[in-house]
Amino acid sequence: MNQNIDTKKTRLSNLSISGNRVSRYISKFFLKSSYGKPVMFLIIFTIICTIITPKFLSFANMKAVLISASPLMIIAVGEALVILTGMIDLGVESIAASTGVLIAFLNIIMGVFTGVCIIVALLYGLLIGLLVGILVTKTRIPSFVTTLGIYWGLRGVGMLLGGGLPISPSSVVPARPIGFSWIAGYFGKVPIMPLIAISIVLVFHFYVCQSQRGVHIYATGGDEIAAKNRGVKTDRVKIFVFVMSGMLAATAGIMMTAWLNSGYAWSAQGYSMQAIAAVVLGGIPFTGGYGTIIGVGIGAIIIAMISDIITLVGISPLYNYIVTAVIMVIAGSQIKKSGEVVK
Amino acid sequence: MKDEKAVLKLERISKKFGPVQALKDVSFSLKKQEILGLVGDNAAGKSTLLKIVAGVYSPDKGEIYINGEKVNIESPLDAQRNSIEIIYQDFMLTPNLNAPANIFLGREITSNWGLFKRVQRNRMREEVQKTIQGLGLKIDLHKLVGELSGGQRQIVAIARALYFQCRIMLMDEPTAALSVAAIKDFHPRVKKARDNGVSIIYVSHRLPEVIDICDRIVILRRGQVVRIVQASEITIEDLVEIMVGAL
Repeated sequence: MNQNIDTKKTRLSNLSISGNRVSRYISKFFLKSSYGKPVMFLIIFTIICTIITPKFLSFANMKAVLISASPLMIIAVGEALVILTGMIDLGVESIAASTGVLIAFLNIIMGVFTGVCIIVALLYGLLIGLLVGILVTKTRIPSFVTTLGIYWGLRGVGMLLGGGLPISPSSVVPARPIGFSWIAGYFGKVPIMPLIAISIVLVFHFYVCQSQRGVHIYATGGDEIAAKNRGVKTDRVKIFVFVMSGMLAATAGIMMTAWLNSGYAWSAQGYSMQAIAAVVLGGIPFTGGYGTIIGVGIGAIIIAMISDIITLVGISPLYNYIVTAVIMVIAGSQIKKSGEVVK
Repeated sequence: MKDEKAVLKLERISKKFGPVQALKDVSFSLKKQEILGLVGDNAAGKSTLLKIVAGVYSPDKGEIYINGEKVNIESPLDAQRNSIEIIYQDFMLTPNLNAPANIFLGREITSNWGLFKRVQRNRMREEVQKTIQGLGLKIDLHKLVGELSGGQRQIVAIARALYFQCRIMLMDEPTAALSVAAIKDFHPRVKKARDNGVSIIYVSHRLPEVIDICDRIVILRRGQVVRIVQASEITIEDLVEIMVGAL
């Protein structure tokens, strides 16, 4: 009898030990790990949205959220790389929009082979990123100013190329369909856009966490002078992140053109700010050096969820920005600074 | 203890920043297994000189010899290739990386998959563990450097210099950010490094410390060497007077 009681006690104490371990692991994950806080925001926001309307968690709605989040996820990955080094890229939305106009112009108006169009569009993003990187590192113009210039300049390029109008299949007679519209389609039952976006997030997450260049990106954001003095070629790191940001923005531009079935110079409006918001929601501070790419992917999904819930509930989309602002301030608490001075 | 052969020889090193002549015709040599103090008032050029040897700055004029051979040190990597390591006043560590990542920064152990260089974190951690244990010390290698104390950061900085088996160690105010207790622990570490075959240039404002730890002292004033003395043959008062130009 006594032995039985002892065995039960041992089992109970084992259970409570393993329970403690689980709760310790969970609290460590949410409070200390780099992904914990973005995941926590995602869970809390999903619960709130589901309480507001159970339709939110439906398969069709989740699919819609992921599709609409896809271009932003891709742009936000590039933005995250730049912010990780302690800089900023305000030009990503203009790169995406002008890439859309460029690829639509080449594919629809000029009738260039689709594969060539995609390569040219990616090279365009690469070259813009290279230009920004060189301007920032060699002429020492701050990234904020350089990319603000890129923001306006490439809107202008897009306007000139498209004549101020969208370029769509009906822009030529007879109408010529976009050759890469399959990007906005399905692979079996799986939408291709989220597939591409999630793959990009995972690949870049792995790259940043595991590669030597990834360590140098974090080191540049942590203390650039210390990194430089240890022989890290910080200028090369900076050029690299702008090149990646340019190419990723171009990828998003191709995707948006396929999705909208047209290329327009004023598309992707607000994506730079949304990408920055996704980066902050994902746990990367403006000073750089901390956070993860997966966190940023989650941040982009949360932003897409905000627009989605507003549409589902039937509130005017005019409230979108206000709701985003409130969420941002709440999310900002995760990267709040201790100490006397906050900038 | 020390070998009379010079491991490092500086000849007529000069450096200007705009109109300011930071260094003018600085020449001296560092012997094997010697701790050479470098003192001077503010703006005497001590840190500039260390940064030239460490490859952070390039001299406008002058030559650097290592073991009798002329070398061109144009970058920190050049200095590291010549077995020169530097420990800065603030240790120059990146706070957002852990100790192994900081120690190997710029020279990570990688496995190459084509263009992709994957960092071998476990191997780096094991190597650092050995080095730190070899110093008879212990720090949490998983913690970010920003979470370590001043003394622990210094251990990381020293471990970085020793891991790569440097022959010449440059120390720029290494005790400036340390507590009194940590400074007490630090001096034996410097002497142990010297006994292990490292030659050290030691820059500090704390003159008793310099006299206590160094074999010889180079005194700089306004970018020029004014005197080189044996540490055992000089008092603090004389050192101050030479530094300010009263003697």
